[in-house]
Amino acid sequence: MKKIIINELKIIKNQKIFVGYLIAIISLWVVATTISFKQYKGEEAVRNQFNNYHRQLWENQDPKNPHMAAHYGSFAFKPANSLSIFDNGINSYSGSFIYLEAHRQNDFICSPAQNSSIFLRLGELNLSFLFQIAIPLLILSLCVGMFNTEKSSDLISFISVNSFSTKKLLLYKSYALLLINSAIYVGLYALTVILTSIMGVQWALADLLSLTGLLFSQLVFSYILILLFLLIALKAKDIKQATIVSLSVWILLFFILPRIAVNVCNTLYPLPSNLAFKEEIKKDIDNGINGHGKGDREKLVIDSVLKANHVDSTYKLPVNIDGIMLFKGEEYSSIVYNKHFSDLKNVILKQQQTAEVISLFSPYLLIKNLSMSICKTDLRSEFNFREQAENYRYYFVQELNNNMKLKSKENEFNTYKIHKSDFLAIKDFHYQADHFYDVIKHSWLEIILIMGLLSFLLIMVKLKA
Amino acid sequence: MLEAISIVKDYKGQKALNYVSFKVNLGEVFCLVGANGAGKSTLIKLFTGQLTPTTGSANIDGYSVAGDFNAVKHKVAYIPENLMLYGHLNAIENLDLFCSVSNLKYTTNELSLFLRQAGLNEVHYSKRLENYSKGMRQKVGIAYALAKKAEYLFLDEPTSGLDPKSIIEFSEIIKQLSKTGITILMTSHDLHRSINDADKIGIMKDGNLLEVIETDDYTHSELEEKYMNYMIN
Repeated sequence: MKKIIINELKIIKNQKIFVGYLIAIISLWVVATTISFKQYKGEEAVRNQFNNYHRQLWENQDPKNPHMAAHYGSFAFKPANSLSIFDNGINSYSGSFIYLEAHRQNDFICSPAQNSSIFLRLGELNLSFLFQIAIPLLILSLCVGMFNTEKSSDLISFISVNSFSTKKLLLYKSYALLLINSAIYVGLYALTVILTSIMGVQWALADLLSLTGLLFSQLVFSYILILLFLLIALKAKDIKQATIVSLSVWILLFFILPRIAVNVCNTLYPLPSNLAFKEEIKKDIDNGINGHGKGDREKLVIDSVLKANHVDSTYKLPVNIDGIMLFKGEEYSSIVYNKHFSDLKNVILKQQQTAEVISLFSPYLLIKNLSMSICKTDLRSEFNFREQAENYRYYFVQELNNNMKLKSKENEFNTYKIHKSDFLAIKDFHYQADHFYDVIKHSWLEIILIMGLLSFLLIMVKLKA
Repeated sequence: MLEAISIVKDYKGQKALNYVSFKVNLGEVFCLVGANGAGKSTLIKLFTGQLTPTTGSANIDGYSVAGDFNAVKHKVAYIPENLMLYGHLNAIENLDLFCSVSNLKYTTNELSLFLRQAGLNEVHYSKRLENYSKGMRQKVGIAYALAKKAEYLFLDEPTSGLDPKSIIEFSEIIKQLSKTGITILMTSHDLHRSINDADKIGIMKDGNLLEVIETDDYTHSELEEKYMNYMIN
């Protein structure tokens, strides 16, 4: 087997297109790495500069009433994610920070740019484009000519009668192509990590573990394409037919099916518009408790507080009723927001599940989803960040409301002020991203589907080659 | 023994072979002659497992090729009409490659010996096959049959496109192979070479095997007359 694979490697090397293949990959890699790195550095610079800047502003702000401080607000920044160099996923559209303020839960922006579970953007030349779209196209260009030598000279019948079956020939060719692609993928991954490390990107051990997982997924993905295009090349009458059929399949898998998936998801599970989403939340909040309100519902809350404390006036309470009302109002609006956000999340998750089923027919969708998951730039990671940011917003606003409730008295809104020590006591936001094993746990369907697709193609090779 | 038993082969409603039956005994050279489209190459493909008969059976040593080619594959060598092999490799490298994938282990000297037995001049061993003539490439194919210790050799139009010197050399090789006990089934357009090379000749026309003759019983001119009579009528 070793000799025949070496022979296949020589055949590939002798293909005129091979040199062009390598030049194209290296050129694209240089451009894509530069773009991905600049994108990462840009985001990191914004994050580092403004995260520290805003924290300093927070800590050094003038003494003010706690509720004014809650409206002064804070920011939740996504930490630097070196994996985003390999797949920036939805980061370009979701942003890297959220402004947090009392009563204002961060909106999940429902613009068309974000309402798909797939978030397909094919126009950007970055590393994920190189590994997931450009290299597969180059694999196709190598595969279509792989049986040219054998078919043009009766060699294929000589081999199949005298030595081994065309099925084995196809497999040997696929091993040779996989070896070349593995060398390219491993080389480019290693070079990217080394070069970006030199340029100051921190690669933690967990990141390298994730990258190994990503690399393995990419290799499985490329082997699926190798088998598919080799099968087409074997069955085609000639190289021209192989090229036309392979390109048609490529367009179907990489362009048409992903768009069909987006449309199917949006039709089956439509998302509300940003405006409708906000209005629904506002309507529900208006029907509930407003921390600043003086309506019947608020009076009921005040009565229950008085009753619980066995007093008949808010002035006789041991705590500030304004603080309690703001606390209750925040608590209520958070319940409302969480309910709507949960509904929205369910719709998007249903879209994602539908897209996963459709992705069974498109290895590109599978690798796209898996790659974004592994690089923690997918929708689930975005939800994770937004939920943690919202939890933090709730924490810091309620800390301030509690301060007001316990340390001030009614009608001291303009006179009671907190100082630097109180601002310092509010902890800064720290985002806890998923670990690699969490990603694997949540991506089990994609992993099963991609392995299933590989098994299906191996069976097809056995039956049809 | 090779045996064709009432083979019928239909191609899209047209009969490429029409109840063809014949036997080739061990060590015999059997040559199928006939015009283009007579069904000669189809028969070779049926015996080498590349096609399956519509009805009937092509048997090698009693095994039906369509049913169990793997049982006899190790005994079979096949050289197609336009064999190219791997042009970027030389003769030794090609032979080594095909032997190793067939689990045959030979030293370079042994491989050279097979090439010599196949009639290839030693000066060509290190040249890439893309620079070989058709006759030279066939010799590498025959060397592989020798290395494989094939008992049955199938040759499709081995002399077409060869120069006279190569045709004579090829006839010698066929005789040598026959002497070693290899059974050969070949196709040809060349009646004169066929009567020299083969023990039996099968005359084919439009998918029918019209007659099988013993070459010892005929002269060149008698065979030519017989053949022409079949072709005209």
